[in-house]
This record gives sequence, C-alpha cells and structure tokens, in this order.
Amino acid sequence: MTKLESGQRNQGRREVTRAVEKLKVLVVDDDKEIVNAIAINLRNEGYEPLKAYDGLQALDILNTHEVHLIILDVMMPKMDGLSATLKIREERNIPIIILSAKSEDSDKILGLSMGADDYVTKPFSSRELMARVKSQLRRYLTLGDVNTKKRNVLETGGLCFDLDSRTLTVDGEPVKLTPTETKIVELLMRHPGRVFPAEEIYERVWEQPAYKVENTVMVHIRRIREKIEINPREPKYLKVVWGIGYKMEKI
Amino acid sequence: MDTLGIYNGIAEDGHTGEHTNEHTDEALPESAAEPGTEALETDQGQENTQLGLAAKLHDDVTPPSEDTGETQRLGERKYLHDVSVTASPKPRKSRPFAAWLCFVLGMTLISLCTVGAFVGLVWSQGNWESMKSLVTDYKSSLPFKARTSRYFSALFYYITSLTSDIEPGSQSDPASDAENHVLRHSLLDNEGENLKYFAIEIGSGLTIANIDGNLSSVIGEDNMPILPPGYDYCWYFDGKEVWVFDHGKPVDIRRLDSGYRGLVPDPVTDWVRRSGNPDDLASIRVLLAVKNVLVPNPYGYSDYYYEQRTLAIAGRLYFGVLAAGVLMFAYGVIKRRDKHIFDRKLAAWSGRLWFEVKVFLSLLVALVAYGVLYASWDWYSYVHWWSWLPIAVLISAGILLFALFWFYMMLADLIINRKRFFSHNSVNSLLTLYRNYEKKYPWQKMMLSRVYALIIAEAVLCLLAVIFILGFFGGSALLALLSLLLVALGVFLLYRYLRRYSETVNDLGRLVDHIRRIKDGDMETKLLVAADSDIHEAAQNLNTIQEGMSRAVREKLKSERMKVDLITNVSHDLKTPLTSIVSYVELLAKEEGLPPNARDYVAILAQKTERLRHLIQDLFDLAKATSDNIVLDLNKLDLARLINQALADMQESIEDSGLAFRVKLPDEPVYIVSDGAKLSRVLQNLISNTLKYSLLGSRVFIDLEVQGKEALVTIKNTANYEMDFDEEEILERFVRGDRSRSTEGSGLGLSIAKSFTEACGGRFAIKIDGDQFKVELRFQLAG
Repeated sequence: MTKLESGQRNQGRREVTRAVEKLKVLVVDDDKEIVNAIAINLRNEGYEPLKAYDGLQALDILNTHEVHLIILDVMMPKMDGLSATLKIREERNIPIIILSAKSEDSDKILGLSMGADDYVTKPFSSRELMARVKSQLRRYLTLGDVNTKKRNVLETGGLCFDLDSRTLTVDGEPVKLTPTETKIVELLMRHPGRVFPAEEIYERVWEQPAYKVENTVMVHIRRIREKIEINPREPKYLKVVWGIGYKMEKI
Repeated sequence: MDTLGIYNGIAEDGHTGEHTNEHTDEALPESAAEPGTEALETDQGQENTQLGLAAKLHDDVTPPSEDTGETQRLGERKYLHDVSVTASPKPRKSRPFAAWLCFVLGMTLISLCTVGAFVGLVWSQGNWESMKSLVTDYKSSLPFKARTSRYFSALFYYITSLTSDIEPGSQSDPASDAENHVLRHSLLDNEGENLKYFAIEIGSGLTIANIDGNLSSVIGEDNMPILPPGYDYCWYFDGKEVWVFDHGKPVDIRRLDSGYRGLVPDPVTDWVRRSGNPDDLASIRVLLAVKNVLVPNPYGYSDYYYEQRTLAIAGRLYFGVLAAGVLMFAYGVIKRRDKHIFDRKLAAWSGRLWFEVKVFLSLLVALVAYGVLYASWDWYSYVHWWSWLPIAVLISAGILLFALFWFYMMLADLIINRKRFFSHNSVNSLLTLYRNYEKKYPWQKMMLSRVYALIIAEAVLCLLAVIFILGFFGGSALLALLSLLLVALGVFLLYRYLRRYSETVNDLGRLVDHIRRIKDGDMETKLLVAADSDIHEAAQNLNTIQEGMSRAVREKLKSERMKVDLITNVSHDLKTPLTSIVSYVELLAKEEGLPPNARDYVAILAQKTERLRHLIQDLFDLAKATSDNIVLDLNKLDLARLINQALADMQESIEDSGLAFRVKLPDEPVYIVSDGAKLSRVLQNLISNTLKYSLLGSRVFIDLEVQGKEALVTIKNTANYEMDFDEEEILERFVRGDRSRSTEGSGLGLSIAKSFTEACGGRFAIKIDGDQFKVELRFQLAG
C-alpha cells in the first residue's frame, strides 16, 4: 500500500509538471454499476473517467476524445471486448486492460495475444485494478525515455535492474531490496526464463553448500514478490515452477 | 479383414440356409461399407424389415411384386423415372420369366442354327456358295448337283453295261432289257418332265432316252448337244469327257468353287480301271438335261421337285428361326435385369439340389443329348432325307433346348450361389442336420457329444472300408472304389471337425479378449462372430451386456457433463454481480465518517464477499477438473521438491498453527510427469486442511516414498473433532469434515484435491482410523 501510494504521488507530481489536464481513462462494461464503481475509483486516483457500455460506443468515444488507457470488458453486447481490442489496435497503441469473468489461462493468453496489455479477472479488487492502471500508464507515458536505454541495465517487462547502481525499478518506480534479495534478483534477471533450483540459487547467492534450503530460498522469493508484483498471488515476473525451481519470466 | 473372413466362413460352410445366402449376395454391393455387420446380422427379422421397407416404398408406385430384393431394388431405382409409366400399371410378375425365356430360347435357336450351318458346311465340304444357293437357287446347290451326278452316273452305267452286254453277240437279252427298264423307271423316270435323258452307242444305235428323236436331232454336227426347249441345263459326255452346260455355256467344273468337285464322274479313267478299252467309249454319247422350271411328276416322285421345295422352305425357315433367335436373344440381353431375377429364382431352386445330384444329372443330360443328337442326324445316307429333316430338326432342337437350359441353369447356379454350389452336398447337409440336433443340448454337452459323434462316424466308416477292401481282394473293383470313397469321406469329416474346432477356439479366444476389452472400458467395439459359430449366442449376449453398460456409462457421463456445465455457467454468472459487490464494499470501506458499528458491518461484508469469491472459484475449478476439458501442462518434475516448495510456500501459516510437521522425504529426487501447478494446489489444499482440522499441538506426518514403480505421498494428521463419516462421504461435494463449522473454506478442498490428482494421472485415497485422518496420493514414476 505504501509503495502504491508513493507511486501515485510520484505520478501525480510528474503529471503536474507535464500537463495541467488530467489523464483520461475509458471504462467499458455492459454492467453500469461496475463502470460507475471503477469510475469513482479512477476519479479518486486523479484520472478523468470516460464511460461506455459496449464496444461500438467505446470506439465512438475513442474517435472523439483523447484517451490514455482503456479498461475493457470481454462479454458485451454489439461488439465484444476482444473484437474491440483488435479494432483499436489497428490504429492506436494506448494501453488496454481487459476485464473478464473467465479465469482460465487460455482465456488470458487469448486476450493478451489480441493486443491487450493486461488481463484482470472478475471479481477484482479495485486496489489491484488501480495499481495495474497506474503501472500501465507509467510505462505508456515514459516510453521512449532515452535515459534508461543508455545505461547498463537488465530488463524484463516493466522490471529494470541497473547493474551499476545495483537498484531495481518496477515501471520506473524504485524498489528497496536487501543485499540478498538484490543478489537473487540479479541472478534471475541475468537469465530470464531459466529455471533455477533452490540449491543453485542458494549456492550462488549465499556461496555456501546447500542443504535443505527450500524454505530459506522460498521466503526470500516471497518477499521479493511482495515488493515487485502487483498481485503476489498471481505473480507476473517471479514465478515458482512447481517441482523444479524458480524463474524470472522473460517478457 | 476379420469380418470378411466371417462372411466367407458362412458362404463356405453353406449351412446358413439359402435365404441368408441370397440376402448377403444382394446386400453386399449396397452395404459394402460394413460387410461384417451384414454377415453377422443374418437374422431374418432384420432382413425382412429391410425388404419390407423397400417393398413399401415400391408399393406406392407399382403393384406389389413377389420377387426377391432385386425387383425391389430395381423398383427403388426406377422410382424417380417411372412415375409416368406406372400410370397404367402392368403386371410385372411375368416379365422376368418372359425375359428369361426369350434369352434361353434365343440362345437355343442361335446355337441350333449355328450347329446346322456347321453341319451343312461340313457336308458341303466348306463351300459357302452352294450353302447360300440352297435357298435361292436350287440348280446351283450342292444337293442338286449331287443328285444330277447320281442320275448321270446311273445313265452312263446303263448305256455302258448294255453295250458291253450286246457287243459279243448282237442279241439283246430281254431280261436284262427289262431290268434296265425297271432301273430306268425307278430312278430316272420318277423325275418325269424334269429330266430329259439321251444315251446312245453310235455303233449299235442302242439308245436309252426319253427324248423323242435320233442321234442327229439330239447331237449336233459339232458334237454338241441340241437341247429341247425349256431345258437349258445339261450334262453331256461327248465320248471323251463330261461337260456341264448351263444356258449353252460350258461350266468350268474343275474350278474349286464351282461346286462340282468330286461330283462329276471321269468315265474314261473309270472305264480303264474296269479294264475296258478307252476307245470303246468313243462311240458313247450321254446327255442329261434338267428342265428350267421344275414341276411335280403326276406319275412318280420327283426328287428334284421335292428337294427344291423342301430346301426352299427349310432355308426360309432357317433364316426365320435365326432371326427369331437373334431377336429373342437381344430382348433377353436388353431385359437382362428382369432375366436376372428369374435366374435367381432358378438358382434358388437348383441350389436346393445337392452337388452330387447336380453332377449326376449334368452327366446324364450330356450323355442323353449326345446320344440323341448322334442318332437323329445319322440319316443323311437316305435318299429321301428331307422327309427326315423336320423330325431330326425338332428332336435336335428339343434336346438342345433341354441341354442348354440345364447347363445354363447350372451356370447361373454356380455364378449366383458361388461356393454354395459345391458346399451344398449330402455330407454338409447331414452335418447341418447334426448341428441342428446338437443345439438342443447345453454347450458343454454339445461340444463333448460332437467328439463322440466324430469317433463313432469314423469307426463306422473304417469298418465299412475294411469290409469293402476285403471285397476288393475278392475281385470286385467297384467295392475298392467304394472303400476309397469311404476313406475320403472319413478324412473329410475329420477335416471339417478340426476346422470347426479351430474356429470355435478362435472365437472363444476373441470372446476372452473382448471381455478383457470391456473390463478396460471399451464400450464401443462390438464382438463380431459368425452366425453359425458355437459361441454366437454367448457373443450376442455379451454385446447386449456391453450395450447396456455403455448406455449406462453414457447416461452417467451426460448427467455429469450437464452438472459440470451448470456449475461452470452458474459460477460464471455469479462473478458479475460479485464484482459489483466487491467494488462497492471497497468503496464503502474507504468512506470516511462512518459510525464505528457501520465500519464493523462493512468489514463483515468484505470478509463474506471474499469467502464467496473463494467458493465460486473453487466451484469453478472443481467443475473444470471433473469435466473432460481440463488443460494439463505436463512436465517431468521432482515430487520431493514440490512438497518442499508447497511447505515453504505455506511456512508462515504452518508456524502460526502450532502444529509439528514431520516431513520425511527421500534424498534422491522422485521424478514424475505431471502438472506442477495443479499438484501444488492439491498439496496446498491438503496442508491447509490439516491446519484447519488438526488437534492443537498434535503432529502432522508427511511422507514420500517410492513403492515399486509408484511414488506414494501420505499426509496423516489427528483430527480435532470426531469424524462421524466415512471415506466416501467426505469426498461428496459440500460435505465438510466438520459439519458444525461453517465459517471457513468452501468445503470443496478435498474434492478439488481428488479431482486434480486424478486429472494429473494420480490416485487419491482417504483413510480414516479413529481420529487418524490419512490421505494417500499415488503417482506413476517417470521413465
């Protein structure tokens, strides 16, 4: 919570310096109450919500307004969320967060492959949704920041590990890590996608022979997750590969 | 392939009744896709319904027909085209017979004509011209020339014999005169007007003639004959050689195609051979003239006239018959579908005859036909052969017709009934009889008495063979043949028994295999066994049982699937309102200035909402796992490590629980192939279960061991309440271990664990022993 609040403050400060007007977020769902609830939350976070109740309305609004992010339900009348995503992606590159009651991995993969940037399953907590909105907007607006490219960094998705300063940022937001956690993150980020057994992580980070270290490693992994993941229960970056080890997802 | 074998088996054995055979024969082309079922389902009932259906279809348009399936198939085929035709319905019953009769009759007539032509050709030494002229121009025909030649030779013989008789003394012998006179009359004068002859010995003036006139008026100065008016055809001997004149022109009788070869006598050579002086013939003149228009002789029997008439009629008849034959044959060929129907009827009839009978009758027919034909055409040496002709023709036609009909029937039988033509014999019939008899007994007795019957039959045959062979030593070859036949019969019986035995063993093997298949859950494959198999009934019964089971399983699956679909849809539809509830509860919680009690209420709302969310998610997961469309992400993984990870993941709650966990894992990795994410969920559920329901301060044992090719995970804990339910009950959805507590969890944990374990290829078992609660998970080791 503290991290999110600080991030929001930071974001707000940056926005003030950038432009006076608020960022516009389009919320599309056929359930008006859900749209209203999300709109209230967005307004509380300092965004200007726009409302639409089906895919066609959403496309209309996109044509008439400057929109910075879309929250899109999948199952809607007239034009469903996936078709709308495809349609929007023909012209625009704005972040799209898909809302869906379908929680299967295959549904998520389908949504993401259609061009969506994130996938949130119903029922969601508004806190998580807001965190994802912020995260997406931050990445969208800081895209093309030349400073980050030049440095000696490891990157995967929104994660960025600076090898010189040995600091980690998530979507541009610095994260405070202990030295052991830093070592683990560095090890995993140097080999994104590779699965490390707990013993290997222990031997390379602690530099001691490993014996019954699963708990130790797991505790650190969980702590890192809580710092870098929006929803630690459904991690995006740092994943447990059950029965094998741990890995940093390659995004 | 197998099913085809069965079909062949039926056809070969030939004891499935003629009905079946016909049926399979017809049904094959239509249902070639599944010959096996056709062969298997030889039940008459089914066939009848099929035919009945076809007949119904057929009846709507055309009058009913008594014919076999062929007609009905035809009827069906014509259904679309024949609507206009059938406005005036025709009795179709006779059509097949008519077509068939035309075909056979036409065939007979054509063969008769061919045989006739062939006989004639042989007779005329291969001269086609003379064959043709039999009908059109009698005078250039072979019989005419042969007859004329005979007359001429006779006349020549008379004059020469007379002159040789008179020459020594010029006294004529009245007896000889009379004899000649009679001869002359009987042969030459029977022709009357049709034949003018004049033979003279110039020296003595001796004349045999029915032409009025002397030498000078008949033979001209140039030694050429002068013919009376109306007579333009003549044979003439001018003292040296024989000439044939037609309308005043000499015929080149030496030409191959003149038709005279071998017919015109060479008098001089002949004379010399008879040791006469060729000069003696120089004074002989013989003339034979035939009237242009042949007329009947009122005073005698003119062979010329009647021969011409007979030949003309016979010739016309011949071509008429040939034409009729061709027409009928053509009709038969055009209507060959109709003909085929009658062929089938015939084949059905003749198929009832034993093979031996057919062979015997065929031999008899062939022998009789040969004898009769030979006898009826053995009359050509007779002079008045044409009076025989009609009778001979009729007899030949009759016998040919019969023989052709018989062999045609045999051929049709062979083509239509195929193997059954041979297999329907007395031995097989006896065997079938025996089979029907033995069916009355129970199976085991049937199989045993079959062996006994074989032994008895073999013994009797051996005894008879020995008796007959003793007769052979007594000198009878027929008895030896009989004994050989008996031995052959014995061997055949043995062969049949062994074949049957191997078939039965084979079928039994398949029955056993099939039972195993059913045990393994194959509900679709049917056991196909030939209808005459010893275990046919057993196989049918098994198929019925299988069908019943399969239906039950299908019903169960269907209801299960419906349940799953329902749960999926419901949990899905629950999520939408829940989303609103979650959102507004959160908004409410953020609201400032709420009275403390309202804040408490909101907290409770939030808590219950969260529980509802879990419940719905669990429901959905369970539905997903129990339905078939669960997607697995299979990997080779270390089960020990997975347990460690799961424990590490829940370390905090484990520490908070105050329970002592005793984990015993092997040092080596235990590799299995499974879906790690789903297994971790299983372990999470099981561990959190122990956390919830274990006696405070008790120990929880988690063991992993390798048993043979299986990995066994056991989780044991001591319950903190009395477990008044059994292993089955606890897995029933919504039945919770502790019925009194309803504040935590969804109660689906164990069900989900079980479903996921099974979906991942493992086995899940619960054991309750007093307060001991034990879960066992078994997985197949990888590799």
